[in-house]
Amino acid sequence: MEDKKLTPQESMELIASMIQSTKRRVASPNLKISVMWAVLTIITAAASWILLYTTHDPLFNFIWFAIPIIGIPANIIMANRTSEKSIAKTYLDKVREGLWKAVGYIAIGLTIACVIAQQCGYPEACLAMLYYAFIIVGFGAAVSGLLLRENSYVIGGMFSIFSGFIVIICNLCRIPLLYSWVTPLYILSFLLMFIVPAFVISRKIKSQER
Amino acid sequence: MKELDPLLHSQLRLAVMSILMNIDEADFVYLKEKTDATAGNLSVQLDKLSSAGYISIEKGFVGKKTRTVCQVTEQGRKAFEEYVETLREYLNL
Repeated sequence: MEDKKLTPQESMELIASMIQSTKRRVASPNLKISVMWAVLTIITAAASWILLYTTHDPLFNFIWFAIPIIGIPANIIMANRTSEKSIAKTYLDKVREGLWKAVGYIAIGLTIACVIAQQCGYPEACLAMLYYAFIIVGFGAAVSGLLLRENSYVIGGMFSIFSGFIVIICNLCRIPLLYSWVTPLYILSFLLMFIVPAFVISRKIKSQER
Repeated sequence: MKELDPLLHSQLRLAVMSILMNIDEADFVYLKEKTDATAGNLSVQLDKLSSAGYISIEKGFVGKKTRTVCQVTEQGRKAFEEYVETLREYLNL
Protein backbone atom coordinates (compact mmCIF):
# COMPACT_ATOMS: atom_id res chain seq x y z
CA MET A 1 0.00 0.00 0.00
CA GLU A 2 1.27 3.47 -0.89
CA ASP A 3 0.57 7.13 -0.20
CA LYS A 4 -1.58 7.61 -3.30
CA LYS A 5 -4.77 9.66 -3.76
CA LEU A 6 -8.05 7.81 -4.06
CA THR A 7 -11.40 8.34 -5.72
CA PRO A 8 -14.39 8.48 -3.32
CA GLN A 9 -15.44 5.01 -4.54
CA GLU A 10 -11.96 3.57 -3.85
CA SER A 11 -11.94 5.19 -0.41
CA MET A 12 -15.22 3.56 0.52
CA GLU A 13 -14.00 0.16 -0.70
CA LEU A 14 -10.74 0.52 1.23
CA ILE A 15 -12.58 1.38 4.47
CA ALA A 16 -14.87 -1.63 4.01
CA SER A 17 -11.99 -4.03 3.30
CA MET A 18 -9.95 -2.84 6.32
CA ILE A 19 -12.96 -3.21 8.63
CA GLN A 20 -13.56 -6.70 7.24
CA SER A 21 -9.94 -7.77 7.78
CA THR A 22 -9.92 -6.59 11.41
CA LYS A 23 -13.28 -8.25 12.04
CA ARG A 24 -11.72 -11.62 11.26
CA ARG A 25 -9.13 -11.08 14.01
CA VAL A 26 -11.80 -9.99 16.48
CA ALA A 27 -13.60 -13.27 15.91
CA SER A 28 -10.52 -15.39 16.69
CA PRO A 29 -9.45 -14.79 20.30
CA ASN A 30 -6.25 -16.33 21.63
CA LEU A 31 -7.45 -19.20 23.83
CA LYS A 32 -4.10 -20.93 24.39
CA ILE A 33 -3.61 -19.55 27.91
CA SER A 34 -7.08 -20.49 29.14
CA VAL A 35 -6.71 -23.97 27.63
CA MET A 36 -3.32 -24.35 29.37
CA TRP A 37 -4.92 -23.53 32.76
CA ALA A 38 -7.81 -25.90 32.09
CA VAL A 39 -5.57 -28.81 31.05
CA LEU A 40 -3.30 -28.24 34.06
CA THR A 41 -6.28 -28.13 36.43
CA ILE A 42 -7.84 -31.26 34.93
CA ILE A 43 -4.56 -33.25 35.07
CA THR A 44 -3.93 -32.12 38.68
CA ALA A 45 -7.48 -32.98 39.76
CA ALA A 46 -7.31 -36.37 38.06
CA ALA A 47 -3.89 -37.13 39.60
CA SER A 48 -4.98 -36.17 43.12
CA TRP A 49 -8.23 -38.12 42.70
CA ILE A 50 -6.44 -41.30 41.61
CA LEU A 51 -3.70 -41.02 44.25
CA LEU A 52 -6.04 -40.19 47.14
CA TYR A 53 -8.45 -42.90 46.07
CA THR A 54 -5.79 -45.60 45.84
CA THR A 55 -3.53 -44.64 48.76
CA HIS A 56 -5.88 -42.68 51.12
CA ASP A 57 -2.82 -40.61 52.05
CA PRO A 58 -3.92 -36.96 52.69
CA LEU A 59 -0.42 -35.75 51.80
CA PHE A 60 -1.41 -36.11 48.16
CA ASN A 61 -3.69 -33.08 48.67
CA PHE A 62 -0.51 -31.02 48.18
CA ILE A 63 -0.67 -31.98 44.48
CA TRP A 64 -3.17 -29.10 44.11
CA PHE A 65 -0.26 -26.68 44.56
CA ALA A 66 0.98 -27.87 41.16
CA ILE A 67 -1.66 -25.58 39.62
CA PRO A 68 -0.09 -22.26 40.71
CA ILE A 69 3.51 -23.59 40.72
CA ILE A 70 3.33 -24.72 37.08
CA GLY A 71 0.53 -22.44 35.88
CA ILE A 72 1.90 -19.01 36.85
CA PRO A 73 5.33 -19.38 35.12
CA ALA A 74 3.68 -21.06 32.11
CA ASN A 75 1.20 -18.16 31.90
CA ILE A 76 4.03 -15.59 31.98
CA ILE A 77 6.00 -17.43 29.25
CA MET A 78 2.94 -17.83 27.01
CA ALA A 79 1.88 -14.19 27.49
CA ASN A 80 5.40 -13.00 26.55
CA ARG A 81 5.41 -15.19 23.42
CA THR A 82 2.03 -13.77 22.40
CA SER A 83 3.21 -10.20 22.88
CA GLU A 84 6.22 -10.82 20.60
CA LYS A 85 3.76 -11.21 17.71
CA SER A 86 1.79 -8.40 16.12
CA ILE A 87 -0.88 -7.12 18.47
CA ALA A 88 -4.25 -5.52 17.99
CA LYS A 89 -6.63 -5.12 20.87
CA THR A 90 -10.29 -4.29 20.88
CA TYR A 91 -12.15 -2.88 23.86
CA LEU A 92 -13.59 -6.37 24.45
CA ASP A 93 -10.07 -7.88 24.51
CA LYS A 94 -9.17 -5.42 27.26
CA VAL A 95 -12.33 -6.23 29.23
CA ARG A 96 -11.62 -9.98 28.97
CA GLU A 97 -8.01 -9.44 30.02
CA GLY A 98 -9.14 -7.42 33.05
CA LEU A 99 -11.76 -10.01 33.96
CA TRP A 100 -9.26 -12.91 33.99
CA LYS A 101 -6.68 -10.82 35.84
CA ALA A 102 -9.30 -10.20 38.56
CA VAL A 103 -10.10 -13.94 38.67
CA GLY A 104 -6.36 -14.66 38.99
CA TYR A 105 -5.80 -12.12 41.78
CA ILE A 106 -8.75 -13.56 43.73
CA ALA A 107 -7.15 -17.02 43.38
CA ILE A 108 -3.79 -15.78 44.72
CA GLY A 109 -5.43 -13.95 47.65
CA LEU A 110 -7.64 -16.90 48.49
CA THR A 111 -4.73 -19.38 48.34
CA ILE A 112 -2.79 -17.24 50.84
CA ALA A 113 -5.87 -16.98 53.11
CA CYS A 114 -6.39 -20.75 52.96
CA VAL A 115 -2.74 -21.49 53.82
CA ILE A 116 -2.93 -19.08 56.80
CA ALA A 117 -6.23 -20.63 57.96
CA GLN A 118 -4.72 -24.11 57.69
CA GLN A 119 -1.69 -23.03 59.74
CA CYS A 120 -4.10 -21.68 62.36
CA GLY A 121 -5.76 -25.08 62.65
CA TYR A 122 -8.70 -24.71 60.27
CA PRO A 123 -7.96 -27.11 57.40
CA GLU A 124 -11.59 -27.07 56.23
CA ALA A 125 -11.05 -23.44 55.12
CA CYS A 126 -9.43 -24.90 51.99
CA LEU A 127 -12.94 -25.70 50.78
CA ALA A 128 -13.13 -22.01 49.84
CA MET A 129 -10.77 -22.81 46.95
CA LEU A 130 -13.26 -25.37 45.69
CA TYR A 131 -16.12 -22.86 45.78
CA TYR A 132 -13.86 -20.35 44.05
CA ALA A 133 -12.99 -22.78 41.27
CA PHE A 134 -16.62 -23.62 40.61
CA ILE A 135 -18.28 -20.22 41.06
CA ILE A 136 -15.74 -17.44 40.36
CA VAL A 137 -14.01 -19.25 37.48
CA GLY A 138 -17.43 -20.31 36.16
CA PHE A 139 -18.59 -16.69 36.30
CA GLY A 140 -15.44 -15.65 34.38
CA ALA A 141 -16.14 -18.25 31.70
CA ALA A 142 -19.82 -17.26 31.41
CA VAL A 143 -18.96 -13.55 31.06
CA SER A 144 -16.22 -14.39 28.52
CA GLY A 145 -18.84 -16.30 26.55
CA LEU A 146 -21.19 -13.32 26.58
CA LEU A 147 -18.39 -11.01 25.41
CA LEU A 148 -17.31 -13.40 22.65
CA ARG A 149 -20.92 -14.30 21.82
CA GLU A 150 -19.98 -17.96 22.27
CA ASN A 151 -22.79 -19.96 23.87
CA SER A 152 -20.65 -23.01 24.68
CA TYR A 153 -18.63 -20.80 27.05
CA VAL A 154 -21.80 -19.46 28.69
CA ILE A 155 -23.26 -22.97 29.12
CA GLY A 156 -19.97 -24.31 30.56
CA GLY A 157 -19.73 -21.36 32.97
CA MET A 158 -23.35 -21.74 34.09
CA PHE A 159 -22.82 -25.48 34.63
CA SER A 160 -19.81 -24.73 36.82
CA ILE A 161 -21.64 -22.06 38.86
CA PHE A 162 -24.59 -24.39 39.39
CA SER A 163 -22.21 -27.22 40.41
CA GLY A 164 -20.57 -24.84 42.90
CA PHE A 165 -23.90 -24.08 44.53
CA ILE A 166 -24.70 -27.80 44.73
CA VAL A 167 -21.40 -28.32 46.55
CA ILE A 168 -22.19 -25.42 48.94
CA ILE A 169 -25.70 -26.75 49.61
CA CYS A 170 -24.31 -30.24 50.32
CA ASN A 171 -21.75 -28.75 52.69
CA LEU A 172 -24.38 -26.66 54.50
CA CYS A 173 -26.64 -29.71 54.79
CA ARG A 174 -23.70 -31.76 56.10
CA ILE A 175 -23.78 -34.14 53.16
CA PRO A 176 -20.20 -35.40 52.85
CA LEU A 177 -18.25 -33.93 49.93
CA LEU A 178 -16.74 -37.19 48.76
CA TYR A 179 -13.85 -37.31 46.33
CA SER A 180 -15.78 -39.91 44.35
CA TRP A 181 -18.24 -37.30 43.03
CA VAL A 182 -16.81 -33.84 43.75
CA THR A 183 -13.58 -34.33 41.77
CA PRO A 184 -15.27 -35.78 38.64
CA LEU A 185 -17.77 -32.88 38.81
CA TYR A 186 -14.83 -30.47 39.04
CA ILE A 187 -13.09 -32.09 36.06
CA LEU A 188 -16.33 -32.06 34.05
CA SER A 189 -16.87 -28.36 34.85
CA PHE A 190 -13.41 -27.42 33.54
CA LEU A 191 -13.92 -29.56 30.44
CA LEU A 192 -17.23 -27.80 29.71
CA MET A 193 -15.94 -24.33 30.64
CA PHE A 194 -12.73 -24.26 28.62
CA ILE A 195 -11.90 -27.33 26.53
CA VAL A 196 -15.25 -27.71 24.76
CA PRO A 197 -15.57 -23.94 23.93
CA ALA A 198 -11.95 -23.84 22.67
CA PHE A 199 -12.72 -26.81 20.43
CA VAL A 200 -15.95 -25.19 19.19
CA ILE A 201 -14.24 -21.82 18.51
CA SER A 202 -11.27 -23.40 16.69
CA ARG A 203 -13.68 -25.39 14.47
CA LYS A 204 -15.63 -22.21 13.70
CA ILE A 205 -12.42 -20.35 12.80
CA LYS A 206 -11.26 -23.22 10.55
CA SER A 207 -14.61 -23.36 8.74
CA GLN A 208 -14.52 -19.54 8.30
CA GLU A 209 -11.02 -19.77 6.83
CA ARG A 210 -12.20 -22.40 4.32
CA MET B 1 -20.03 20.10 -1.51
CA LYS B 2 -17.52 19.84 1.35
CA GLU B 3 -13.95 18.96 0.51
CA LEU B 4 -12.56 15.61 1.61
CA ASP B 5 -10.02 15.86 4.45
CA PRO B 6 -6.69 15.74 2.53
CA LEU B 7 -4.98 14.06 5.47
CA LEU B 8 -7.34 11.12 5.33
CA HIS B 9 -7.75 11.09 1.57
CA SER B 10 -4.66 9.01 0.96
CA GLN B 11 -4.58 5.23 0.64
CA LEU B 12 -2.24 4.31 3.47
CA ARG B 13 -3.40 6.90 6.02
CA LEU B 14 -7.03 6.00 5.35
CA ALA B 15 -6.26 2.28 5.75
CA VAL B 16 -4.54 2.92 9.10
CA MET B 17 -7.43 5.07 10.35
CA SER B 18 -10.01 2.47 9.22
CA ILE B 19 -8.19 -0.23 11.18
CA LEU B 20 -7.80 1.91 14.29
CA MET B 21 -11.46 2.96 14.18
CA ASN B 22 -12.45 -0.70 14.37
CA ILE B 23 -10.12 -1.77 17.18
CA ASP B 24 -8.95 -0.13 20.36
CA GLU B 25 -5.22 -0.22 19.71
CA ALA B 26 -2.78 -1.82 17.29
CA ASP B 27 0.98 -2.07 17.17
CA PHE B 28 3.24 -1.12 14.27
CA VAL B 29 3.78 -4.74 13.16
CA TYR B 30 0.03 -5.38 13.00
CA LEU B 31 -0.58 -2.22 10.94
CA LYS B 32 2.29 -3.14 8.63
CA GLU B 33 0.86 -6.64 8.09
CA LYS B 34 -2.66 -5.39 7.43
CA THR B 35 -1.72 -2.54 5.11
CA ASP B 36 1.13 -4.36 3.36
CA ALA B 37 3.16 -1.12 3.49
CA THR B 38 6.90 -0.71 3.89
CA ALA B 39 8.12 0.13 7.40
CA GLY B 40 9.57 3.46 6.27
CA ASN B 41 6.43 4.63 4.50
CA LEU B 42 4.15 3.49 7.31
CA SER B 43 6.32 5.27 9.86
CA VAL B 44 6.10 8.55 7.89
CA GLN B 45 2.32 8.31 7.52
CA LEU B 46 1.86 7.48 11.22
CA ASP B 47 3.88 10.57 12.12
CA LYS B 48 1.65 12.71 9.87
CA LEU B 49 -1.51 11.35 11.53
CA SER B 50 0.03 11.82 14.95
CA SER B 51 1.11 15.43 14.19
CA ALA B 52 -2.46 16.21 13.12
CA GLY B 53 -3.68 14.80 16.44
CA TYR B 54 -5.65 11.99 14.76
CA ILE B 55 -3.77 9.18 16.49
CA SER B 56 -1.65 8.81 19.60
CA ILE B 57 1.58 6.85 19.41
CA GLU B 58 3.06 5.20 22.46
CA LYS B 59 6.54 3.73 22.29
CA GLY B 60 7.59 1.06 24.76
CA PHE B 61 9.54 -2.15 25.18
CA VAL B 62 8.54 -5.81 25.20
CA GLY B 63 11.63 -7.59 26.48
CA LYS B 64 14.48 -6.10 24.47
CA LYS B 65 12.33 -5.20 21.46
CA THR B 66 10.67 -1.84 20.95
CA ARG B 67 6.91 -1.70 20.50
CA THR B 68 4.96 1.16 18.95
CA VAL B 69 1.28 1.12 19.83
CA CYS B 70 -1.20 3.38 18.02
CA GLN B 71 -4.64 4.48 19.12
CA VAL B 72 -7.13 6.77 17.44
CA THR B 73 -7.85 10.00 19.36
CA GLU B 74 -11.22 11.68 19.84
CA GLN B 75 -10.18 14.29 17.24
CA GLY B 76 -9.24 11.50 14.81
CA ARG B 77 -12.55 9.74 15.41
CA LYS B 78 -14.50 12.91 14.61
CA ALA B 79 -12.39 13.61 11.51
CA PHE B 80 -12.91 10.05 10.25
CA GLU B 81 -16.67 10.22 10.82
CA GLU B 82 -16.85 13.54 8.97
CA TYR B 83 -14.74 12.06 6.15
CA VAL B 84 -17.13 9.11 5.76
CA GLU B 85 -20.12 11.48 5.85
CA THR B 86 -18.59 13.59 3.05
CA LEU B 87 -17.80 10.43 1.05
CA ARG B 88 -21.47 9.45 1.33
CA GLU B 89 -22.48 12.83 -0.08
CA TYR B 90 -20.04 12.41 -2.97
CA LEU B 91 -21.37 8.95 -3.73
CA ASN B 92 -25.02 9.87 -3.09
CA LEU B 93 -25.38 7.11 -0.51
